[in-house]
Amino acid sequence: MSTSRRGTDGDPAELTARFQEYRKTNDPRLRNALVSDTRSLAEACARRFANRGEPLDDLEQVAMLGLVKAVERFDPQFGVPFAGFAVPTITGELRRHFRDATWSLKVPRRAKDLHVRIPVAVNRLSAQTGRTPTPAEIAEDLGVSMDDLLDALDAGAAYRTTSTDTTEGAIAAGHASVRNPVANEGLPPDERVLLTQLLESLDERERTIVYLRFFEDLSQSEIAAQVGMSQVHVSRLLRRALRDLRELAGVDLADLTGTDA
Amino acid sequence: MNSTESPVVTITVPADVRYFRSVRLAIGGLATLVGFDIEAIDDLRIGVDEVCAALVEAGDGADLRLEICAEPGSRLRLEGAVRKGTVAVDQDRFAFSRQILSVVSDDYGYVEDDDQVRCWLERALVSDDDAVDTGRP
Repeated sequence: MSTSRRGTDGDPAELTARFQEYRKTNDPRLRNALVSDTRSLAEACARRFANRGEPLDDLEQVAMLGLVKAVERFDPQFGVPFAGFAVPTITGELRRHFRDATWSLKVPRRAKDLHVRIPVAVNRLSAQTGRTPTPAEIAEDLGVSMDDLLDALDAGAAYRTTSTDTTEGAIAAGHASVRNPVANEGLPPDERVLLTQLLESLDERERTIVYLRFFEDLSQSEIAAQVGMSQVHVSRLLRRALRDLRELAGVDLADLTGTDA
Repeated sequence: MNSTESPVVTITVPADVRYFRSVRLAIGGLATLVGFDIEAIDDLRIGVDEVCAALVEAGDGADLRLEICAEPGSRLRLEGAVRKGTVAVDQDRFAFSRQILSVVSDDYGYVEDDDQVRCWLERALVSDDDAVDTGRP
């Protein structure tokens, strides 16, 4: 078995033969080679979704995830070339990313508008009382109903911001590196490896926040103070990071439920 | 849970990630009744996602039936059950969910019986004095 890079424009018969071998052996090295050799498909699909407000690097990561799924699921007995199977799979992954990662179609305008006012109210009330406010206090401060407030808080989970109100430097000042946050957690080795891999998939800011929240048990307010951003922004980043981690861990709920991409 | 002891809200949603938001909204409203602050409610919403995701993954595709017991001034408990599917939850993969649930709740669990899977979380309201001791907000 060779792991050299061959590309998708090589001999189709040879590619089919390699997939047949993978179906028989489930050899992870062969799977990795197949992914590597066909990655141009993922890159091409990612470029098709460029200039829609998401960084190309992120899109390529999502597309690669789709490619891995395609490689793992493709069976030459389907009677179609691999590209014909992989492109819809990758495109579906990208569409799901856009559906889940932006708040374009599911969040009412009112909730979006209210959501951006919440951090200001939280900061103001926290300064007044010296503690985290309750939803009732925030709703009263903003002059909105409790239902509207809760809806807006939940809407924030769908908001994917490209701007930041902190810097990597500010995070680094608090925690210079969180390269392997689970190394000393006393977890079984297999779980430790998995968690480490998952966390390494996050960017440093998200990794730091996830680590501080779930492994250091700091509150969102404490994290906010440490990294120099608002509690609401910490909340938003946590939710986004957890969603990304779940997808990376392979819990493809849409597939489980038959949800269309 | 016994409805004669404390109020219980029952929610049934399709086993589909798109309906998690409905459960989160319900939890948010009920957690407000208990008296949790905004951070604790955010924790509970994160917990909802973990519980629901585990049930969807372990279930047979049938609807999720979730019970939320909210005792004003005391505690909130979310418990869901589904018929067991053919694919068990990957325990390695569930490790991170356990880590999350251990932080956002005071008690949580995931139990597989012969034909059913149950998952729950529970969080108690703590006073400001207790919060100093426990690190809770």
